[in-house]
Amino acid sequence: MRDDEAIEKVLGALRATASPAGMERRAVNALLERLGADGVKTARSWSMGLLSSFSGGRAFGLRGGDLAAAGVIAVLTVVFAVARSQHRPGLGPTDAAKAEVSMQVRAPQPSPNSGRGDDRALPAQSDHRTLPRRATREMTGVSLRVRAATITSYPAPVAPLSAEERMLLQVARTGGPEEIAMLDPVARAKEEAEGEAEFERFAGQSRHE
Amino acid sequence: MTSIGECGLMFSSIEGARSEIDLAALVETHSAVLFRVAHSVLRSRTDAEDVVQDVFVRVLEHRANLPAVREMRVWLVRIAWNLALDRRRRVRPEQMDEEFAGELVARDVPADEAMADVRRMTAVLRQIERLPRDERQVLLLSTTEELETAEVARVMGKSESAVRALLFRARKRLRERMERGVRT
Repeated sequence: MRDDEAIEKVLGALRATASPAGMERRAVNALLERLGADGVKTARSWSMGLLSSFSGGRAFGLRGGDLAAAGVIAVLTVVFAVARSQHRPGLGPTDAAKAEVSMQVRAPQPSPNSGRGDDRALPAQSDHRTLPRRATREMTGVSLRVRAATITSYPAPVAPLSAEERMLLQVARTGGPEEIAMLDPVARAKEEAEGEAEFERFAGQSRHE
Repeated sequence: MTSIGECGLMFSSIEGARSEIDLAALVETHSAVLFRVAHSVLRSRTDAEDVVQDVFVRVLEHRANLPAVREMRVWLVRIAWNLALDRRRRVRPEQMDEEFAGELVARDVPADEAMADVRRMTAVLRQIERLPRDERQVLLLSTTEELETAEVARVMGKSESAVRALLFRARKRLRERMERGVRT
């Protein structure tokens, strides 16, 4: 291989590298885990953001003391929502946050033209009835609208062989017919019988001579 | 697939309203290009995938700034590039390069010839890493087929003509160094 060929081969391989199957799904799962981990912090910052976005409360005729009271009420509301979600049976703090995120998972919308209507729905539909939508928005800040129609679930890809393993395979398995036959007892017996018959033929010819 | 313009429109439309950000759509649209960018630096599929996840975690952490982002793909590629460089400093790049080169060698060639090819392609990868920073970046980004010259220019903060010149110089320098058999 010449230098030019090596350069083009390397650059071409970098260009042709395909992303692993299911990478998008795993990325979304990582985001869900992340949201589950800092859901409470997000809720606090989101509620403060909402307060500040009300132009200091003047638009609603609030004065300084009223604004402070409104802030306390908002924080208490969020704390109440968090406490309520954490006390739901069967859900820990992380699970509760995940459930609130997955609540916004939309059901697949099979399009008549897309041809992808057979994609699987995510198992989160029942949560629509059990959790308040507004609380979810405040908890997560960002809606993860996981579109099951476009992101399907894949198992983790098979780990590729290492360079050493591949070289070992090349050395150990030349793939010749004799080697393959030795792995099959029936074929091996047949091969031995043929060898024996050939030897007998050769021995017979030698005796005649 | 969502274009850059559509992404910019979506985020500009939510600027005032603080409405929902379709992060899953971002993942779906951009993860492939981000993977290729990260892989061009790291030459490891698992590490490149980790970088893609880290990019979107960063997006999640800085979602307050998203309305200001006009060119989502360019912005994401910049993040991926920097995260990949950070990761490359922490891992052993030589080992990754050898493994990657080993994957490129044809299986039907004799072992001694295969070893020589692996060495040559590992040398190419090593020489790419020793190119001047801008030349290396433009060479690797240009291997990402989704990125056109104009986008590479915006990622690097340079003009298109400068990017073309850098790419020409990078290839020339790489070829010369390979011919000279520069070794360290």
